[in-house]
Amino acid sequence: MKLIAKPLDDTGSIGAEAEILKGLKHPGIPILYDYAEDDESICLIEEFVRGLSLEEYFLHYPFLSKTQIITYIIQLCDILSYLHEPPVSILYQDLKPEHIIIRGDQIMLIDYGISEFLTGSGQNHHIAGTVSYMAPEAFTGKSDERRDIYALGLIAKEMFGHCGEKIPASIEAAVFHAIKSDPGERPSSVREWKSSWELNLKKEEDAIRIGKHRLNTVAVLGSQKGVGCTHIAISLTSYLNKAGMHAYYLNVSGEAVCEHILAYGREYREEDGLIYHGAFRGMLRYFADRKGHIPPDGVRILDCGTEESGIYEADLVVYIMGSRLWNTGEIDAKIAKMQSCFLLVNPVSMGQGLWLAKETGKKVYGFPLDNDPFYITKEKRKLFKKLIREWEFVS
Amino acid sequence: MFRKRISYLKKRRIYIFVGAHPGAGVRHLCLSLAELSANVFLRKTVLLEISPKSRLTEILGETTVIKGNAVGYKNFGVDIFPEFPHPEVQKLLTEDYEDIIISLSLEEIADVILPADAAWFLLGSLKPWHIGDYKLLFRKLSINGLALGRCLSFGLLAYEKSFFEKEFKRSVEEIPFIPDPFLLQRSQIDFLKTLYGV
Repeated sequence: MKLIAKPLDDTGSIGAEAEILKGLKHPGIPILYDYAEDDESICLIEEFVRGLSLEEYFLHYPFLSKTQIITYIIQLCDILSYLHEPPVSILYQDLKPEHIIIRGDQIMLIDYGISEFLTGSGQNHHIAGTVSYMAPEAFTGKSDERRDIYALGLIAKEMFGHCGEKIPASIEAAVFHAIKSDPGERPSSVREWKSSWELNLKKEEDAIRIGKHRLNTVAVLGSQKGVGCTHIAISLTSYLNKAGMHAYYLNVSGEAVCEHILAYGREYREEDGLIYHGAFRGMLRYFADRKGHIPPDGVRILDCGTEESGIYEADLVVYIMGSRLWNTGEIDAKIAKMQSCFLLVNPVSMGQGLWLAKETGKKVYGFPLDNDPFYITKEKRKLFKKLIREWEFVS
Repeated sequence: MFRKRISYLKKRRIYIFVGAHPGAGVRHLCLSLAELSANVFLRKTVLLEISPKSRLTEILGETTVIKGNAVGYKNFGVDIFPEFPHPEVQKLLTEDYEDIIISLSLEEIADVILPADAAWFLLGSLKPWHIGDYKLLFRKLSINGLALGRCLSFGLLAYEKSFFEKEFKRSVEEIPFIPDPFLLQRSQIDFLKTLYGV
């Protein structure tokens, strides 16, 4: 509850704030339960917002992560879009770090003292605000949504100044677009500004995560039947999904692996021809073979079995060899010497691995002893991480 | 240095291992058991791989053993016959081997006439995508009227085990990981002894 004495020169800003806040409902805006006023004071009963303002936050935590900053900007965009667009149609006009309260991952925008309803003509004559965050046109009394976009751009710029990581190019360009001094050159709405960088950012993030060049297809090939091709392909799919790279498994050797998993496995669900189990996504064969089928987004993990045909379209080939004494000599030298081919011995065996490395002159990786392909162990994570990194380096 | 022969195992024993799918680990387990039989129990042991094309030829020693039309090799004290022709099996039973270990692939089951007193072992992984292989295996075995043996699997998970037991009304035992069949450890020997029947 706030009891505020009305100053002599009060032009009704507190009352105006109360009027505006009363009609707003958004998780980023404090709730005003009620208000009352008399000649001397005004009483506001509103939600208590606990947390640090962005300004205080910078003092306590000088470095913010890129993800944290992007989360905050997206939330700010959502609040401003809500305010600017009908039926609310309010111009906030006082966007600055002091008014942004951070509560864990959620931010709140407070102080609606100088906010006013949008006239629609761009002629909001109320010249008020904090000078350092005011758009040039606001000094002339011509304000519209682009005034808030300008301040949002400045805050985003300030936040990235506290970021220890590399700023994505798309968002950097968007920030400079928002703080153009000529309002005509700025984006016309917050929603438009947000959509201009959000999609590009996602693409860039995926590209960064996946590698310098986008990894589209991985082929898992076995040197003979029963060396664990399906097991490794499923493990790799689960790992990539867990690492946020969106991958799906597809058997191209003619075996109905996903169909069997769906029929006999546990806790699987099917949606649009894809089966899901934890971090695993696998495509059913009948769905992949269907005419006009559009493959889902993400890396394709092809379980080739012992069929070579699928490997030539792949960016990365994982060639698996058994580790028993009688597995010697089963490796196809032509495939093993392909630049994109990585050799794996299953399960790890020093003897066979050394023989293979000597034979091919290439690095040989050992797949750890493993029971459950859907569960990513520390050893498997380490191995796949190494493989992807090596592939990035080679390509 | 000198191990005692186990006198109560005088009777000839036959062990048959069938894999439900490639990579089940039949060859690996057969070699381990043959190694145990020949070098721990000091019994005259033969290992037959009934398959038209066997990869075992890649590891065999130089001492050649010939039985009828079959050519085998002596390795680690065991007579090993890769690519053993199935019509010769009955002839070999008359030989003086004390332990006969037979590795059989799913394709060969229908053709081979095997002794009724043999101990049967069915091997395979219990991963969901292999369940279909088991269905085929059990169907083939029932057509042949063969007694169903013990089911074994490397790397069992609790859910898979219970699912298998519910689906096929059979219990399944886990085989411990054997890194090298020619270098058996105590725990592996203990398990193999349970298969051996000691």
